[in-house]
Amino acid sequence: MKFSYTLIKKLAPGLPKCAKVAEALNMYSFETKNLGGDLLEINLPANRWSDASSHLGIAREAAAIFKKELRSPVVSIINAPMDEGLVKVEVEKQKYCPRYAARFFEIKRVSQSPEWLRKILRACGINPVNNVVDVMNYVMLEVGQPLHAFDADKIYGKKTKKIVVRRAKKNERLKTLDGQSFVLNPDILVIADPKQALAIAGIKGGESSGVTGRTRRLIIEAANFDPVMIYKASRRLKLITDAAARFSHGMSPALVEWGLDRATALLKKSGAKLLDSVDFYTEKAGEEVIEFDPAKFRSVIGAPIAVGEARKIFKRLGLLVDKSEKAKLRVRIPAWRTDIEEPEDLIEEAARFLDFNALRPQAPVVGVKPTEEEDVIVLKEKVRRLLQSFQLDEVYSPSFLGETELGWCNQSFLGGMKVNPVEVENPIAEDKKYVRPSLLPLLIRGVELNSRFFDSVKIFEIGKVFSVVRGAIKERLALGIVLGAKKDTKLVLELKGLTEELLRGLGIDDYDFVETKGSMRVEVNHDILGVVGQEHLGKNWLVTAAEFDLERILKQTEEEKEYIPLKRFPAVIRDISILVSKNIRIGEILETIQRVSPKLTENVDLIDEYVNEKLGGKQSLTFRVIFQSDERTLTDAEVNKEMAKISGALKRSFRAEIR
Amino acid sequence: MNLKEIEDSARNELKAAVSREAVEKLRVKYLGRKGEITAVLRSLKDMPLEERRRVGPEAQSLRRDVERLINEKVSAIGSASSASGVDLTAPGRKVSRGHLHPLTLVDEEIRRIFKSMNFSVVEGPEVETEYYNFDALNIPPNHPAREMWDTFWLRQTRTDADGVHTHTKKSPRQSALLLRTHTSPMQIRYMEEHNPPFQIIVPGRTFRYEATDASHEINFYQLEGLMVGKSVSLANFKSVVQEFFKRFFGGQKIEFRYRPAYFPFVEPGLEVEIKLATSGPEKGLRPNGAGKRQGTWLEIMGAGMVHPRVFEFAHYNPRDWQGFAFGMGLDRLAMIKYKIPDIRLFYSGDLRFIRQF
Repeated sequence: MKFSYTLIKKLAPGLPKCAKVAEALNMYSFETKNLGGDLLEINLPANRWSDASSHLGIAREAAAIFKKELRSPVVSIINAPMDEGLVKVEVEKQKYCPRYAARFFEIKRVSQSPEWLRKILRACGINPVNNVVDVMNYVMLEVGQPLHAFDADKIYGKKTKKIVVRRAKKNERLKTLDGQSFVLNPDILVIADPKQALAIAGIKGGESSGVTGRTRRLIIEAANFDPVMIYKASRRLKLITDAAARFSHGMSPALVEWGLDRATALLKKSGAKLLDSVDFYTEKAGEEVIEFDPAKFRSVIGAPIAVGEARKIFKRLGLLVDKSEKAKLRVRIPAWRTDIEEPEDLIEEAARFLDFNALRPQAPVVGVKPTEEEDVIVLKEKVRRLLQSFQLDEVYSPSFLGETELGWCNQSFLGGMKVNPVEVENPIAEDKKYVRPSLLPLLIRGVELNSRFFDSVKIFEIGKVFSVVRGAIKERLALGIVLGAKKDTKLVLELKGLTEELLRGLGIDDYDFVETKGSMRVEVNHDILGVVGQEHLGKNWLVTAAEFDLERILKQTEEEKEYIPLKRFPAVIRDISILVSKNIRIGEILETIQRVSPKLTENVDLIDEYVNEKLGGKQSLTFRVIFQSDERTLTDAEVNKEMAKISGALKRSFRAEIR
Repeated sequence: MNLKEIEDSARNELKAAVSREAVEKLRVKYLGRKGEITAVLRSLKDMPLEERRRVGPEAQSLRRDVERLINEKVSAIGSASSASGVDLTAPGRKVSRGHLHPLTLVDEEIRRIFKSMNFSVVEGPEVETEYYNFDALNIPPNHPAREMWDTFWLRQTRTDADGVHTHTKKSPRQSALLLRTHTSPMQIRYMEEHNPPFQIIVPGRTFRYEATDASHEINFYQLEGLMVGKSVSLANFKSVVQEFFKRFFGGQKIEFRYRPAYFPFVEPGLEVEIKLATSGPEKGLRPNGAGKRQGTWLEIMGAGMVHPRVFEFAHYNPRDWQGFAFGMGLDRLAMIKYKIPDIRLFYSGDLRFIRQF
């Protein structure tokens, strides 16, 4: 909100230069920018609009900081004509409109406002109109209370003009002062005469009753409306005015008479004559009394405050402190200071004027106990370290995706999961309307992006994924791994190996790979930890991807690692090459070899693999078998016997040709 | 050229020299009859006595140093090409390593520092209820205050037994669902299940409905802190955060500034600003108009003393407990620490970026 230093200075003449005031406000009150040209931009906190969305409020803060006098511009009007019958007010429901006051004037001439006033309006971003409307706006800037002026002769009623505050009828129409037409509904409050709506309450006046050059009789309104109603109406109508912004934040009904008295004084200067006034105000906002306890201050802030010091600060802020010599202060909070509701609020007022920066830091005293870190956080860290050691790079992807990526999820090897996505009600863009059900679509896109710069890409991400399960949103912690490389058709085996090493690194040894339609499920005791599969990208790039559920992995990692004694006797290594049909699967051959003599066979591995058209429908495979015993050194003869058994088994089971 | 400059250039050139020939050229350049150091030594006699006394010994010592360096270099080159038969000047073989994301690095660093100050680490859900994200944090509904947190709402999928759409009820379990706009809901969730005294930090991904630019993303990371005890004070808060930032920006001179601010869940509320040292071209911030590097105040953290109403929502008696809470953006910290100009780089998946860390 923009503020004119000129006007602030008028209300607190002792203040120093503009730049200094801006700096001090920024440090002690509100975020303030000095825009130059005696203009300040102040970011008011949402709870301070009642007392500070006005030059008076800002001047009060500044005067309190610099310990200068504040001069309120408001002079109470006494002996004003009251309830003479020229204007009457009827409020449909007090809750919507706790206060509605109006004054009836006669004016000889509607003309231009004096230049000093026009200048302040312009500085604060308001266009000057005429000497009536300008006073309404000026007084709002000065004391915060929004005001509205009606041309009384355009309001229905002969001698008595009756003003009604009611909910709009369904589809009731109104054209506002700026010529816009609105269709209203019963959630919107209007100011009306007995025949039609005259204004959208608290938001904007209507065209039909606006003040013009020919206006001779005026009704000036100062009212207070339910903040929620005004807030909702202003958002629904997309009509955010200075008045609507103030009422939405909640203003005190006490401001009404400041506004009216100040406006009356200014209108009188323009030759207007006050003829009547009314004030609907059934439940008066009272003063609150809140106790300020210096001992509590000391405890919360961590530094002492002298009672006398606190008293001075409160007084400068316009709070009333009862005279007493007790250790605690009884502070009366004026109605316009709506934000002060509890003792803590007073502590804040005292603390900020004592200056947060002067407060000496003090190390807290804590009972030493071991700090804790959730298991899943520790697991994430372990996974990251392992994958980093496998030379993978970590990426972070956005949490949002669109129809294309969702389609991928359902068609890819993840499809078995049948994702039911979580939808955003107010997406920021069409391609960001779902919360990601899987990390993989965006990771694969990441590989695609990086394929322009690198020959191979190995990335992973740890993050939350979301889906709807039985009507409720389920949030899971996932690990996604994607490897991509040009023309590496066996890349999926690298990912398989990597998965094994990852699981072993996490202390899981009894995993199984269960094959399902070209992809694999990774299981431990039938609990599915994740899936591994592959995809083709254009440009000869092959991509293989895996996604794991880290919470499930966590459940399997509870065991501690245990040392297994190193083998004392030497190992004997033998290779065997065979020619078998291409239809025979390597996994089965491995299993067969292992089964021959599980006691002596330490490990079996595929070390060479060759398929060529010359071989017909066959594949040439070389396996390396490592024999080792816990009890003795194996002899050549023993190993030869084992190898013969293996050859026999391979011939029998697969019609293998030993080469 | 003064002696310091001669020394620097001699050292640099020697370092770069890879052949015996090149080294010999340098010997002539610096120590030869017309060499640069020789020239200085010769000019001594024309200097006034006082200057001669100062420069003389320095020049002599530089001559000795350069001579020694040249001899060392000569023997190093000699042995390399003879003994093992490997040319040690050939480039090293490329070894690759995996890289962790800069936000992970920052997160780990922050956790390490806070754990060293006896804070525990917890995390919370990214899908939150309106109750935990707003109501229980004293952020009133239908009030412009909520506009400080532009929210992504989730389509309500929850259906009751009759399959009827149920809607926003203000009970903790049944209120509307959203993507958390801050990590603050964990204040309530943690307090509901733990008794004070305690001190925790909560890192995590958060979401705001706002236009994306170099400093705004719709998903980003926050870190929440909460310390509650019998007499935890604002002075304690200052001590903890200053200690944290000093360690985080390791060794740099750092200034702090505190301004009042409004967050409905704290009272008093404040904004912490830091200014990093002007010294050291590597660590300075943006240069000012005059080309001199100068620190600016950076808003880095919102904080305050936990509001009594927040304690009430968590079923604590506000008369018994007090504490501080703070929140800061991890992305912003990482951007300052690594001088990253655009927040969107973090979520780009671009390995040319990631592999710098």
